[in-house]
Amino acid sequence: MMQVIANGIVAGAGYALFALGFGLVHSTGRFFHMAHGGSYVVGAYLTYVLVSKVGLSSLVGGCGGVLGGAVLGAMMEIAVFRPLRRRNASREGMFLAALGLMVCIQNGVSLVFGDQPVVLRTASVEPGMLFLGARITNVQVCIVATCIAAAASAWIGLQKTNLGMRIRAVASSHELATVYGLRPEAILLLVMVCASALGSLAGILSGFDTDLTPSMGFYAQLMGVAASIVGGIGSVRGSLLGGFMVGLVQHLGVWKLPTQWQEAIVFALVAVCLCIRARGFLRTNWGTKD
Amino acid sequence: MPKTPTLQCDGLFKQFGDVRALADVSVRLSRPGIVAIIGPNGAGKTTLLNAFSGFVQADRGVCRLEGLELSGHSVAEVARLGIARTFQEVRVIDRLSAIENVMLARPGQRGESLLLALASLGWRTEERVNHAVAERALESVGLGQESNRLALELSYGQRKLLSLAVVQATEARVLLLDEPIAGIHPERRVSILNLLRRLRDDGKLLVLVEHDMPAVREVADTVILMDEGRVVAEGEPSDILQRRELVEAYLD
Amino acid sequence: MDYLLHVLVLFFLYAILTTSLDLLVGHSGLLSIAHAGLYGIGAYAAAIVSTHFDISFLGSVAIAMLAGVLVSFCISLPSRGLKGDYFAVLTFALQMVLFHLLNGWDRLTGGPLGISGIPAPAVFGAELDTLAETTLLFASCAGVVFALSRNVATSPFGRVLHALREDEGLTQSLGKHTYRVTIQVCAMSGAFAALAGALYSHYITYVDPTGFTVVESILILAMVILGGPGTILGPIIGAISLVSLAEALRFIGIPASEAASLRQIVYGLALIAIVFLRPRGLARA
Repeated sequence: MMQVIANGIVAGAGYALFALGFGLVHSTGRFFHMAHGGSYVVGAYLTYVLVSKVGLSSLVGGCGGVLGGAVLGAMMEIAVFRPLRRRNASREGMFLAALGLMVCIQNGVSLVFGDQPVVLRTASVEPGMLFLGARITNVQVCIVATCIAAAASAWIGLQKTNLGMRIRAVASSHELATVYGLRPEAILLLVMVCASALGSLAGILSGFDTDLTPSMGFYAQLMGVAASIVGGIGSVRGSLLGGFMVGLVQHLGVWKLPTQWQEAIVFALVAVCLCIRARGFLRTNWGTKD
Repeated sequence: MPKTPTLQCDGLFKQFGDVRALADVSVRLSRPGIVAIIGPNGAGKTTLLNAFSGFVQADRGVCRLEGLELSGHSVAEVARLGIARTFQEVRVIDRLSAIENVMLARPGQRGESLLLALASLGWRTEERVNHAVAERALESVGLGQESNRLALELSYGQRKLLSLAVVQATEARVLLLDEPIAGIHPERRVSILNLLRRLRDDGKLLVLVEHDMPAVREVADTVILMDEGRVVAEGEPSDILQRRELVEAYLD
Repeated sequence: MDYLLHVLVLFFLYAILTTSLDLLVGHSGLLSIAHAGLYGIGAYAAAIVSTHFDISFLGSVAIAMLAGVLVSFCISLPSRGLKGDYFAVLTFALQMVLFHLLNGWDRLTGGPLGISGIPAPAVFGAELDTLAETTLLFASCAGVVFALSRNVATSPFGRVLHALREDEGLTQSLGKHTYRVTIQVCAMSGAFAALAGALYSHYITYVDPTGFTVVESILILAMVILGGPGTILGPIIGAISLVSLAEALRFIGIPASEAASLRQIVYGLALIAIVFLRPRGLARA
């Protein structure tokens, strides 16, 4: 039981990290960034190359992966999202373009690395330490810690710094922010870079925990979006809450069920959460148009 | 035995956050008739229309249509019971043509059943009738020439007229009209006022929320003055709009 | 010659899929990415009943369509009040559920290995033994689906759908059964997707889950959006263009292992390009 909860928390931390970046992009750019999983998978594979092929240490390789994910985010923003925004693309349009990007990135990765899982884990698999009756590896502790640290710094960054104030201004209204002399496009780019860094960090950490496959991005994408919506999209606290909730639901929901059913049931539970929360979310926003 | 009012509400309360939109509103309206609800912005006029049409569920109190309680009925059910409405922000279906907008509003269409639609059976005649009715409704608001244009190509005033044609086509007994006159081209004004009178003479109850006082004076049988969610005064337009203290306090 | 007929079969197959998806995306404004899941349900339903029971081709197609209606009905139930990208994310999750059902329930579906030995199509006892006859079968099915969808789109029912796509509140205030209409159109769309699936599995005589992933859903969606959602012929044009594009890629000498990924990249790029061309509304102006 404790093991199941621990696994749920570890998975949830990953989703929370993903949802954090996804939510940031949504609240400033006002669209579902369905290619956020692209940074996730590219960050993880880049780290794999740097660590396993080039032979850098995990830490340096991880930093490289984060950097790569951030650069990818900047590229997506400059090449796709910014021009679309200038053309007044609808929310659905942005959603679809991002979905298209995600398909490209996943298949790009699969072209280069093949569809077979690759292993990033550097050290031999340790049994992990015993904590409240659950076995947890160092990597898993690291995932949870990073997630909380990232959430805390995102919160401080948004609430306490001048830059955070500017980001929040852009989030509340692009037009108004322009009136106050802010440049929304620059801020949106910055947000995309930070968010993609967070997304790739989530990918890299999960890469140290499990194997890498090109389709991991799509999986994380769905879970991250679900976490984001379930927790209340766009707030740091909501992302954390949603991430852990989805993670726990995923692991507790299928506990003791035959493995063949697990995946289907996980996604069914995600769909149920999504239904309940998305509707609640829309209802609270009833009558407001953005 | 007293006649059951067509539309009534008793002790209606509605709170939005800190704002009291309706505070103990009770009205009784009978058809045929034209009732104008007037009052300053934020008086709760539109909220009252929303409560009658099912868009807003009151916190307390009941609305009735011909004695039948409306609370708990969905917007569509209320509409099917015979209440049609227009919206202040003028809502029509942009990507349908003017005439399709009006035809959409016709009640009880057999072609709205999936099976008959699939088979393309049993609704062609009905559609022709609806087309003719819709054309007449468009002509009555002066949009006869625009029937095949998409609603999004029409001007603001034309869209407002279109929404009037739409509620006419519903054949509802009660029409709730949110600012039907304001913003209408002066040339059209007279004919719209005549249209409202004609609808009343057909036996309908028209409830208008309106800021255009000359129009209210001309067309309304009854005026209800609201402020801060309450009914302040109710009576004939000549009476209410003559009372200096009311006009000065609420309408200037 | 056989190759050309095979491509023609693919045209008709995807024309059924896009026409049925367009009922949701174009006519009802429901951005669904679960269509490949419904397609898969049809394919597997046909595969399972025709390999386990002695059932005619028509019977198996009918059962598949019924399964498609049921699953699509279940998908549409939570759709109330969800629109645009929220509906899309929900259908994303449901697509994953359907895929993992096909992939995971190995007692019934054979898991990743799939089901083989599905009988070829036979109409009233006569097996269609030439590819030309099969092509004709696909063409007539596509024709029927097209005609029925057009009937629906141009009927008062379709008018309610079109109204619903833009302003649900207004449509309700006109007394329309918005929820019922949504569920019905989903069921219909599901039936057609399942029909495509059943035809496919009888044609290939083998199914495995890889054809019914979320990426396949996105591909069908890309075809619809490319052709112009809500236009009657658009989705078919979209299907023809992307199928041709994919087949053209075969001829420029790319190894099969990379062809699949490359093809999907092209689909992804196509999707982005369409949004660039028509950023405001998905419907063609």
